[in-house]
Amino acid sequence: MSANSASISASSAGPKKSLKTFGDDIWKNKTAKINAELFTLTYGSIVSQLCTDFERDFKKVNSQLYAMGYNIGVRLIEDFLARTALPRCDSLAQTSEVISKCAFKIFLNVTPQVGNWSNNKDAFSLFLDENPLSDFVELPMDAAKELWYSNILCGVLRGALEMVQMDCDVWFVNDVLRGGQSTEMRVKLNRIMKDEIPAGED
Amino acid sequence: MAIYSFWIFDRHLGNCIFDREWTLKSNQSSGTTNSKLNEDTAKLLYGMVFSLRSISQKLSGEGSHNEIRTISTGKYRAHILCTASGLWFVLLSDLKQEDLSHVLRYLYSEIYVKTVVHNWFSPVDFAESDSEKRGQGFRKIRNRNFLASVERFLGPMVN
Amino acid sequence: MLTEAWNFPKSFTFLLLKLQRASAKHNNTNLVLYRMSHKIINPSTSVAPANAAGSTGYDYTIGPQQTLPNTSAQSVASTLAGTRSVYHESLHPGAHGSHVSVAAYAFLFQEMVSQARNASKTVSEIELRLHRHGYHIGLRLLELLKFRSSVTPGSGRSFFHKAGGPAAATAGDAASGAGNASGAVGASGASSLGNAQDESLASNITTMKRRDLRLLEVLQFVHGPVWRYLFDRASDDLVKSSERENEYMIIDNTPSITRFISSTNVQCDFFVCGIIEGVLDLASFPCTVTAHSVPEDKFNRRVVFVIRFDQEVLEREALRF
Repeated sequence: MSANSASISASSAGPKKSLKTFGDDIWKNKTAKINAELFTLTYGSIVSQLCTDFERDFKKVNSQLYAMGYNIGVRLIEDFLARTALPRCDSLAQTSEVISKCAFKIFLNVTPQVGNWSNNKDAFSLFLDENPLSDFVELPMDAAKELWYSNILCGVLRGALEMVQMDCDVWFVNDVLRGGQSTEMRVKLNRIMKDEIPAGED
Repeated sequence: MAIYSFWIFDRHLGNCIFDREWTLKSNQSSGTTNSKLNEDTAKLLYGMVFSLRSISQKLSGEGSHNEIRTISTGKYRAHILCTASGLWFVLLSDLKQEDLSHVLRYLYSEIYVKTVVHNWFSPVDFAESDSEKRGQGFRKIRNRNFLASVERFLGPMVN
Repeated sequence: MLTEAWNFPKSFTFLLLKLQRASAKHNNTNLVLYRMSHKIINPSTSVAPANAAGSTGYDYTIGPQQTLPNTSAQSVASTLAGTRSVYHESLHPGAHGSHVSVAAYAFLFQEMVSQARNASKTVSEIELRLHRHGYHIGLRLLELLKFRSSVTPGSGRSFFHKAGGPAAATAGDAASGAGNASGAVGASGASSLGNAQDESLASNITTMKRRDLRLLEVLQFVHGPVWRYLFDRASDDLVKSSERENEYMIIDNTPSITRFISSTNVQCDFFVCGIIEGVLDLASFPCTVTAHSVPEDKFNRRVVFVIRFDQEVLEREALRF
């Protein structure tokens, strides 16, 4: 509970700085860690296996990675909430900060930059300067046009956000693996879903 | 120290996915119970928390988080943990227990997350179709590790 | 610059051949190749990095090419100008984020198991799939870990503290053909950790360690360095079977990556079996590895990995000395 109230008061004071310290602290002191390269290699082996299974139909691989990510996301959110005890966010701006400074930090030890807000503030981008999923990866030529190598992340975000009642579309706009200047993920909020209301209350 | 019962409601509000009552003698061995009695109690308990929670949130005004933590009555106290993902953990205890939020948090982060969330062979959404939402669900957590951990953790606190 | 010939470091071609051999064994194509740095063995000319920077990938259907296809080459080269290529990344363990959370790994691993489960009809098929995943990781570990363990003791510490000086010079040298991209980063980022990314591990190696030739040596290698790399500790025991000549056992009392899985009918440790087998296979110790759950008093998740070497290994072992 102390973490809970701390984060609430902190978020009203100035979410940027304190969320970062909050995320860093959890990463440093309350997180069991494992070799990042094993993680990279395991993911690589998964993607490569999918490419074989789907006979290099990369559209199918993309959607399969997305589906896997979704399965992970709906579970990962519970782990995240259990560790951070954060309440629901008041705004998408706050959500974006929590995703970048807490969620990415705690699970992958990276902090993507948030930016590229849409005019009506319903969509933003995450710029992944570092991506533990794709270290040392180079795409074969046939895959470089279609495959979104880290597409699993989109699914994870989609699933996790859905569990806190945010209906979002998440997709990759750009990836350095495909020759882009940066790795950019786009998150667009469609609507905030209403909590279910018990029978008889409506 | 006395804990009377422990309940988990899932995000399809009103679906009770776990209940364990230590005060009922007949259930001591089975760990969970599907008895009609418990089903009704779950609904009443859920209704009480739901109503008080809505009211308290309305009273605190728009935009601020105000989760209900405990409800005291003349005979027992209900301790409540509502997660942002919509799960409710509810413990009923005697009146001597001022605050069991650390116990609830442990149940959530160390037991529920580790044995249910991290266990791919267990679902995380216990309603398998729309008809099982809104309090109409009947599926419970049946995972052995979860049941054993809850028993091991809460057992010593029962009396 | 695109007309220059491709120049693969020798070690890399060697690795490729091995990977192909391994792929044939598992009837599986490698999509993603984890490369050793181009700086390991200097190419005969200095233009290799230039070509590296101008490609998006190794075309597995064609193999090394003299020139890139004209159509894609132009656009690819232009988009890639200014970005760092995988060849410029250091193999130093600290060059990238060194850790991720166990939870993240557990989620990924379980989803992999669940994938394998959905795609398979029988338990042994699931285990085979997990084994295959591990095998491809094992293949890569042998080279990488041998390479890293060859670092001269002592030089590792200075690695992060060296500012500018020789580090920037080597980075600049290597990148001279590749345009200014990494050279510029190397020079500007010379202040602190940013530097680490640009320094090759090879500059800290005076002599490469030789390959393990004896059976026990290679087993020690799995028991020690491989285990420490994967799980941050050596395995709990390495035992020779008293019944069969070709059988060895590696024991793990607390297997870390499968600890969240509560299923008993699928042996998810087959993933680790695959890793062991991949390492041993590439080291030319062909074998079969299986996992067996053997709980003991204090360790209810204790796993024994049984390694059965092929007969040829024993014969070779008997020949020498």
